[in-house]
Amino acid sequence: MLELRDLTVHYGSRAAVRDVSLTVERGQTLGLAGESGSGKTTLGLSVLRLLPRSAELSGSVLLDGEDVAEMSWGRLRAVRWTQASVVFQGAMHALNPVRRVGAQIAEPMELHGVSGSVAELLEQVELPASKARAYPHELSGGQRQRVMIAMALACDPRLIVADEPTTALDVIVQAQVLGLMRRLVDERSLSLLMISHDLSVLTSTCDDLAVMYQGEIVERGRATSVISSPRHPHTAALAAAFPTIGAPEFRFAGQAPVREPLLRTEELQVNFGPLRAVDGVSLEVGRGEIVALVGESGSGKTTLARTIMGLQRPSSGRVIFDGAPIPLKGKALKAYRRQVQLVLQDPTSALNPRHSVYEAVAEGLRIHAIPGDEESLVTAAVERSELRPAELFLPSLPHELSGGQLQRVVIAGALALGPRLLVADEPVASLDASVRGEILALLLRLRAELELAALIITHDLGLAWNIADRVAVMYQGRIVEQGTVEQVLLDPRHEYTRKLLAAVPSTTRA
Amino acid sequence: MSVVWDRRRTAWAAGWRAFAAQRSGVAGLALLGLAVLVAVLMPLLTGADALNVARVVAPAWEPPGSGHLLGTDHTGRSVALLVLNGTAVSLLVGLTAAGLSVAIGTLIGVTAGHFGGWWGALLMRVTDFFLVIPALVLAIALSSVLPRGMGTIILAIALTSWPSTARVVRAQTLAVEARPFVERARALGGGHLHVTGKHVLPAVLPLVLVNTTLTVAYAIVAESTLAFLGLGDPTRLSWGSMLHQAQLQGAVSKEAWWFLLPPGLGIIAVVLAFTLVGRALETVINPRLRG
Repeated sequence: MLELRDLTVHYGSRAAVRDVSLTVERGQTLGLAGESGSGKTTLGLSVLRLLPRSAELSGSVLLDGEDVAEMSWGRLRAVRWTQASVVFQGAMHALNPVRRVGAQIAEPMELHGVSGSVAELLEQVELPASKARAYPHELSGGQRQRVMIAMALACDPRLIVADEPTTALDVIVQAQVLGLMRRLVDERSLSLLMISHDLSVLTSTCDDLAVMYQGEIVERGRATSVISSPRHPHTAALAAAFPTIGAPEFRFAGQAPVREPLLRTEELQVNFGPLRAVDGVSLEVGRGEIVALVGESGSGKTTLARTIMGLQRPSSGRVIFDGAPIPLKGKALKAYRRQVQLVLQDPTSALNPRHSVYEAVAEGLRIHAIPGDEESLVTAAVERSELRPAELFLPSLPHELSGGQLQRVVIAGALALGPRLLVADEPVASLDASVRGEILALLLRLRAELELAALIITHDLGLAWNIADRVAVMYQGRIVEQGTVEQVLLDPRHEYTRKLLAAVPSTTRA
Repeated sequence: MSVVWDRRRTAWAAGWRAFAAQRSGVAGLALLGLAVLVAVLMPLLTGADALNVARVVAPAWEPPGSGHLLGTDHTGRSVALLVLNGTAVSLLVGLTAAGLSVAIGTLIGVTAGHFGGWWGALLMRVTDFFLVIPALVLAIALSSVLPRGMGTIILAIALTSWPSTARVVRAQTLAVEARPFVERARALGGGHLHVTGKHVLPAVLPLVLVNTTLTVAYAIVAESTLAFLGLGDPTRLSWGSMLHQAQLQGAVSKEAWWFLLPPGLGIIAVVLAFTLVGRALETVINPRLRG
């Protein structure tokens, strides 16, 4: 169906894809795994000659035996969508915000003169036909992704290229969308080339797996065998980032003793107008304890974190830190913020692009006018977060560093103030798989060395299994279940927790 | 830290290269340099008697070429000398008024954007008020109420031209404050001064710089207009006041084009220069505009 022969793609002097040969048979499902920058998206776009002009291509892309590069413009137009179609990354941006989704699904059918019904397509992706009249912003993330899939199916193609189709979706919705794709592939005997950084997503949908690293395919084989006995170290690193919950080899944290409480919230409630984001939450974090707060987007977990930081005022209830309620303004609030530090999700936007590493780390020291030699304090904090040698990193600007290095800078900035609690909002969600483990190990080491407690907010149950002592599950503003990691993840009591756990795609699929 | 300075120097050098690549911007800068040179040097080079009405000997309304390059005015003074000496006031008023106007606009814009809520809304309504009254009418009203003088003109122009800067700066402030690094700064314990001083202002400043050059152009035209309407400082020579005199003495009916045209061209040249420089700077700062 699809054959790539010695495909190489250059952007200027940089090779994004190097000498890749790959085939997808009729009815075969192939997962293409890789980190950001590995060239997997470039490869996906080359199938339909969708690459920007600046890309130089050598080698050949054969679609049903025909070279895509040599097709005439008219032939290429005819082939696009009727033979192969694409489910693009980020449904919000790939859909036109000012047109109804029904019209957008019908667009390829009109262009190609294919007959078909939008209602039927919607039914296939398990959406009610009435949704055809909705605009993209009226749909949820999962519904938008279904619309994208309906669109890809419109002209009855035989190959679908899906680029990160479920990234940014919550676990339960992700499981539904993946199930849908599996069903459609089976029913219509489609070929599927699915691109993702998430090995567990790929193994739950695809029979075969190819792993890309720095533009090259480093490993290829049956999905199950690639996962269970990876030959390339990079594959092993990718696999480790999606831990099997319950497996002792993925549990990095030791057994935590019972500790005295450091932070406690009492019946905390936060309202935004009529909307109740946080609804009576009582949560406790002990000294040197790592607590994972798990929930989907919209469950109120970020609002809870902001309230604990004193960035958002509670509507009722209170936050107690070290035996005293946290101050709401003035000098006392400023002093409190020395004790509790925030680590944000995306380190590239959490640092001012105009400030060097040195300035970013020294910012807190300057705000609190901490006595002592600024330069040596900054160096110590940077080395503590394992950016060594510090002198090499201090003058760099954020855009010169990688995601993992930037997250270390953010952590260093927090450590410089000698906090006792770290509130981390999805600290590894935007990082590549191979870096994820390092950052988690750093958090654990800091806990051991400095008795630093952490409240980690995440949607990723695997992360909780990796490092947390206790887990609290948040759903619609309430904590529905909390307890030790083993209790909550291995023996869930609440129905929602069970649903969440069942939806986690696993690399050890039967 | 010397590394920081090194980097700033390279950043400035890169900015200059991007600016220098635009011929119109460089032409504007050259024209501006010439104007500044004339403004500084002319008062020193012109003899005390040359512009004294009581001492000039040349006949009035003499056309160009007959001993005077651009002819003479109604008192027999050389128009060429008048125009060159008028540069200083036009530039001075233009620059100070624009500086003052942009300072007010930035202050109000950042405050409204940063604090938001009730205070922000109030400040923006005040801004809207100044935006809807015709600037020229307000400026005329102000300069006829306040005592005559250069200070009044500057104040009148500044008070009428700040709202657009305030709006632009407020929008940019809102955009910057939505970025996560501002949240991080707050979580580190940074107060209002820290957030606005360290994060918002540096991000807004490039925009303000461009706005200043464009406001100077407006201020120069406004100064000339006010002076032309006879609201200027009667003791100082400017292009606007020359046009005012020409009008009063009936230069049009005497067909003395040489009295009207040169000050007008002077205004056009300087305003054009500032606009060219401003547009070129805008392109340097916002690469998306590069064609």
